Amino acid sequence: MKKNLKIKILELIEEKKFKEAEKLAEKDGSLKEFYKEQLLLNETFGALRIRKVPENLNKKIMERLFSEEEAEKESILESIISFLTFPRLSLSTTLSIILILIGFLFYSVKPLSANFSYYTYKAKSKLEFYLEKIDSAKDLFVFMFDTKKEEVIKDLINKENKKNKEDKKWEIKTEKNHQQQPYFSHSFPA
Amino acid sequence: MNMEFNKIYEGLERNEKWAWEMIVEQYSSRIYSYTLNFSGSRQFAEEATQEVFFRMFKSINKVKGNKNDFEKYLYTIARNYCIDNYRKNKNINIIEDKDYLIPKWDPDFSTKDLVWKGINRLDEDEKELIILREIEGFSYDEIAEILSIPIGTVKSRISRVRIKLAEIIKSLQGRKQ
Repeated sequence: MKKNLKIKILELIEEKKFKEAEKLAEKDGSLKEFYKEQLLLNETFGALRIRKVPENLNKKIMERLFSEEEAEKESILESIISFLTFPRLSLSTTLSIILILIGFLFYSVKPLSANFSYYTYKAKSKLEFYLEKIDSAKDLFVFMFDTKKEEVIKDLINKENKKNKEDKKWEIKTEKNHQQQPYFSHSFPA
Repeated sequence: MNMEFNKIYEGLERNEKWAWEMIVEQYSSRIYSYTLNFSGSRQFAEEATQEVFFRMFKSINKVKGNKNDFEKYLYTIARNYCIDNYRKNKNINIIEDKDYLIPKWDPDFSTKDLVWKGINRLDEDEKELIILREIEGFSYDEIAEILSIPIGTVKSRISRVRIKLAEIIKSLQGRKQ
């Protein structure tokens, strides 16, 4: 019963109906005390609100917000390198390892320079061979796409016809010779 | 904050420094106060305040562009951080002497000290309600949204907690005398 009255008093205080709350509290000594306690609590709560932040806290927050965003962008490159080489190594260590590896490779490849010139020569001759092939293929293409192609073909056909005519002439001659063959055989008996 | 919140919010969305500076200036003390009242540890409160703003910075696009939603979201992050890192890890160095909270030169030192001690004797859930409502000044429906409980429950619980707090303070006073 008293608890319900206390809740009612609190509701009235909440609605800022202080006179009504006081009137209700006057019914009982303990309720009156409760009412006073609650008013004191309301006054004190506000004072417990801390409105002073430690020195540099705002600066630290801003630094964290914007430095971590930039660091995230930078870390993309770093993570790629780390992924390609050794994970969990810092960027500087990774880069120095890469440089050492490049140096080592260069040093170990140097004694093979004699073999290197031989292979260069071989590659060069192969290349020349294929270039020649390409050149002939190119000539073929040039002919195929030549605008004076028809004239060339006509010339070729004319030449061919002329040649055929010549051949035919010789064929007749040989036939005649063949018919005259008995004459010769009679003239010169065996 | 003289500028309209919408304009600041647009700046926040574009990660513009001036907008974040305004928000940090406006809310850092409130978040610090909340986390300090929650934990009683200055070190924890400092770390928590930084982390809360950082999480807000990362998830600003999830917040609707009005002030109330922004505040609720900020306090929800703060609350979740406190629950995850404080309640689970009770080893945080809690400063017993609350001089930094209630300076001794304050004429009402004894009253504030008593109320503060009383709040710290409450259960975690009860303490949370009192901090949000009475110290941070949130409305019942804002608290209902932050804590994800019905508004009626918030009202009835706060009344009960206030009655309990008054009894604790009385018992502390009796012990003192």
